[in-house]
Amino acid sequence: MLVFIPKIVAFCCEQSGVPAAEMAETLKLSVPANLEIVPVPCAGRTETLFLLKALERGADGVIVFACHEENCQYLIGNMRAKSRLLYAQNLLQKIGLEKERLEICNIATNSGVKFAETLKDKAIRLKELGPNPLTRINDPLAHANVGIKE
Amino acid sequence: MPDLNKVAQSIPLKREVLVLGGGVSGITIADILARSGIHVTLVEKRKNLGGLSKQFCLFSNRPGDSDNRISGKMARLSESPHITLITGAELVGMEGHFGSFQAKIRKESGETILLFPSAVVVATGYITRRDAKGIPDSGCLAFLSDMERLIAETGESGLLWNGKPLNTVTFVLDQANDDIKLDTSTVFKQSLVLRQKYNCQVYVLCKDLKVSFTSGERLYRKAREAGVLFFKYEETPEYSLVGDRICVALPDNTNLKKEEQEKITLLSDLLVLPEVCLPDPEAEQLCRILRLRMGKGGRFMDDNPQFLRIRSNRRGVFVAGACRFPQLPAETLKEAEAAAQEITALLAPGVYECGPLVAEVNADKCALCYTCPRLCPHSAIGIERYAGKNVYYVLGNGDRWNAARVEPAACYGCGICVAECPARAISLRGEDALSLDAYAK
Amino acid sequence: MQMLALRSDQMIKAEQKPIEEILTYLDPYKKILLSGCGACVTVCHAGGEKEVSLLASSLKMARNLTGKPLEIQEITPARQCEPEFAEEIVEIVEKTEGVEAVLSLSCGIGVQTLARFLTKTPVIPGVNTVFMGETVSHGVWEERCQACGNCLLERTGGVCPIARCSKQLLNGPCGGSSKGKCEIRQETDCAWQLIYDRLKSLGQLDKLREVIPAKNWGTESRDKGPRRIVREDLKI
Repeated sequence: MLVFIPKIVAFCCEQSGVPAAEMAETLKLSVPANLEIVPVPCAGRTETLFLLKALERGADGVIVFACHEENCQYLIGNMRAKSRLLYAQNLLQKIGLEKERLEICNIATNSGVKFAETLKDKAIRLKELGPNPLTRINDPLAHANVGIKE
Repeated sequence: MPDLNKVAQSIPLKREVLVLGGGVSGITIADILARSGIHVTLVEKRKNLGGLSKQFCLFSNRPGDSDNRISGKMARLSESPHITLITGAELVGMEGHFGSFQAKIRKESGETILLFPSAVVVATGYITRRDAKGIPDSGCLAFLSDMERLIAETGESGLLWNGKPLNTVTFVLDQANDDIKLDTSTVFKQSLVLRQKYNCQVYVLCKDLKVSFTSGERLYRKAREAGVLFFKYEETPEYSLVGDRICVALPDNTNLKKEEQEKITLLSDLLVLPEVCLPDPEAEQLCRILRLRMGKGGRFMDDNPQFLRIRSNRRGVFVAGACRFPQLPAETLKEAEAAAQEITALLAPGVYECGPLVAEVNADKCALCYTCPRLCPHSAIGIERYAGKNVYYVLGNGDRWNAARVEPAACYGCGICVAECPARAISLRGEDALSLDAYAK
Repeated sequence: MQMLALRSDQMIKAEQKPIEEILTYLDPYKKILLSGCGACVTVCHAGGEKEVSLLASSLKMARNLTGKPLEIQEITPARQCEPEFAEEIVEIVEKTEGVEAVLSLSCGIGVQTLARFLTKTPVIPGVNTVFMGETVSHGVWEERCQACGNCLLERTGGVCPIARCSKQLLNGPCGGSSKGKCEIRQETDCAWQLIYDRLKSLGQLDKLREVIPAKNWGTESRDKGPRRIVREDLKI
């Protein structure tokens, strides 16, 4: 039976997201399958283009993990990432894609549990939202984000 | 195409530091650095060193002690071959970045000199204001620094204020300042002396007692045991004159029913208020010269825990002491020691290795839009004149042009500029381009 | 494709057209060249390389969703308003197979220069050239000059009543100036208040007594058609 396993691209800030991901791994917490982690030195390195390209290349959802507000190691990186994400969401709405596919999550280095939970929640919401409409256009069976459920 | 961004990736560092401000923090830092053999230029805008230390009983419960501590350091300062002291002087400009700072100091005479420190410490302190708003003019008002001096000057005889014996004193906290623990600590210490040595009746009014500092709770308990009476207030108390004494009236907050709260009136010989603590009015100008970020309320640096204690947004520039936020003397000392330690460690290798991640501007593509110099949180980007072969093939005229340039020694490699540049003219050298390639093109 | 950058003019402020509008223009085409510009529109973040890649991605996704894929070739030349640059773009169009139209993010000048040389391929504007303006603060731009053709800033302390007064009054404020703000749009500063303040600080309030005559909109401005400047001494 074919099951939709959402593809999530997570841009992880190396000051918060990456340590949180490592902690989740150490604690052996489960994260959704079909997850791609892209480390960036600061959430502020995430270009608006990355968010769009991820969807263009077939990801079902994108999440940016950044430091908490007023906690950015580089002072404004998390706020820049947020502004860019809002701009990208605006673009998505205009072209007919759901803006909920993009999300930013503020996290700390010691939040392995929050990391795993947030991703799990995202996968559930993406399942409800359905696959990225761009991939549905093409052969749905050739959809990379479909897996076999045993 | 010449590599216009090719600069040395490691920069030499001299053991040379500029300290701005000759108060407690500045003096302590200069003292420690000099003893490690680092040359310090200490620039103080007033004629004398010491800052606000004269006003307070800073280091112990014995007034007058602070003088000894500081005067010892000040003596070492003037004798040390590693310290150049310039009083009556100010910083009027600073160019360059970490490793190439060029500081312009204007002396009292009007002469300006250039210094080339490897690190700069901002320890410019704060100012105080005596605010008597709402208090009737009667000679019954004093401020904490007045009480400090009174206690220091009065020996074994009784306390006199304006020639009259001082029997009852009222302190009011939380009106002048919000969250300055120095006020609370000073009031506790002064109350104890007044109670225990001079047998005064002491009242302390406060909104919230802030005891979260070393010995805070212990001092409070001692004060209570000694018979100091504490009253909590919400709205500003009413001040009036009764004869030649000052009267403070407030509702009794211990009764939870507001309508049934009786009015408490306290009559005393003297009302003592803390001075209002304000950021130095020149802090903004200094922030601009040093390209530092301004914090809330006109102080240096944001309220970001990553930058607590001495770090600033710029590599090589440190912020120490009360100019960041007024704090207790013991904390100020620790901070000064930490700053000195960090600077010593920074300068010890004699060189700074840039990277691993450093942003680089492709001058050809730079449209001089000024986005990156405005945006860079570390003030690491400026507009510079590049030199190179004439690469214009149409309207070129000359071989120098202006474009943004990231100073590698000042860059933290965060990549914020890389992502924001509208011409995509900046790249992050040292980043694993492969992982981002899929999303960048 | 990178062409060499020049230190360029930055005065023109433009805004990207709504993407719905651009999609309408691009409807008949299957392959286009998307050309940004490295000058003014880069500076106001409307049409530089960053915006080119963002727009290309958005357009491709939008068209994929409607089942009519669009192929986009992206370039960002340094400028488009000089003939030589336009000719370079013409070369690219001719060399690239199947380009049916050029979507240009340069200002109106760039679009027209390109159109002059690209006789067989439609050139579609992707931005609205809005005004010549100043950076008030990063990300905020405001109109400052209307190219009236006869600058009178010397008489108004460096503040232009033609660009900044909602009524383009030449001699003092209207009765609606209130607390330094304009009655037409409350957020707008009253230009004549600004002029007064500036002349006062310059010690030149006397200039307010000089009457500025009505403009000759016919010869000085574009009311009689597009204007032209000719420098005989520069002609090659």
